[in-house]
Amino acid sequence: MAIRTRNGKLKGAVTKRVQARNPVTKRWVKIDKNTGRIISHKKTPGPYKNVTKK
Amino acid sequence: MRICPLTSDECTKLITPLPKTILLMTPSKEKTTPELKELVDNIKKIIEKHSFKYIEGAEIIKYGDFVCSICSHILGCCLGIAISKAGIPPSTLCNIFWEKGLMEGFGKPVILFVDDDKYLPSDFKRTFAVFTEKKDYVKRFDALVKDLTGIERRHYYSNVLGDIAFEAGDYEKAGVYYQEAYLIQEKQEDLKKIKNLINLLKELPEEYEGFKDRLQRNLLSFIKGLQKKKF
Repeated sequence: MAIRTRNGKLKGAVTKRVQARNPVTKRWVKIDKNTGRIISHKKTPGPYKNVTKK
Repeated sequence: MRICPLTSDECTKLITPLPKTILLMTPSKEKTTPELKELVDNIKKIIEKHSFKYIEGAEIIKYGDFVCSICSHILGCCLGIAISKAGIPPSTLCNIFWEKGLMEGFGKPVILFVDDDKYLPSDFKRTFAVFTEKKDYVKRFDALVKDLTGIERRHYYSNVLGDIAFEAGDYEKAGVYYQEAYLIQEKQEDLKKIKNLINLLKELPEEYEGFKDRLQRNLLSFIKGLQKKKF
């Protein structure tokens, strides 16, 4: 589980969420593992931080 | 659940799954020009290069409701290609854009061929477009087809979105993703996943009766459509 460090940064991965690269838009997509729903599409290139890649 | 665009009710009709097939939204042979014919021939060559088949919207002739037949073919394909060029009669253009809109509404990508950037309608700015006046348009189209019909896209629908939805218990979404994955690459693995889902639905408790029946109807119409096509 991700925890906040003293300076406010996240340490470790956010559990219950994964990210995958959408091959059509070529952007990373964040998915909630509990509901199976897509939470958000990244607007800029590159993956989300602290989210496990599927 | 599939919603019929004509009646706004649930559609329970058999669809015609056409795995590894692209729907071409082009004018019929009588309404085509030599320039358009050359473009369509180039498109067909690239589709065949990627080991895909194509079906022409203008050639879909069936008895009964023509719109219903087009809709069924749209649901059965994984990708569409539409052409909007000078010389196409306005009524044909309306048909092409209606089919393009419907296909995108069903969550399937459509590549639009336009002469130039300035002729691209503003509503299509964020969709896939190929400009035929540019020299490298064939290369651009080739790359788009590769992306939209590739293994990576099938993997995304089947092993990422489908499996996550399945594990989370969202069987309706999982069914849609597995069907899409099967249409992209025609892998038996995806068909097995759909059949597993149908078997699992039978074991669901009675409180899910409505949902269970609806999803079972949807998945069975896909499987039966596939069997009908083979025999």
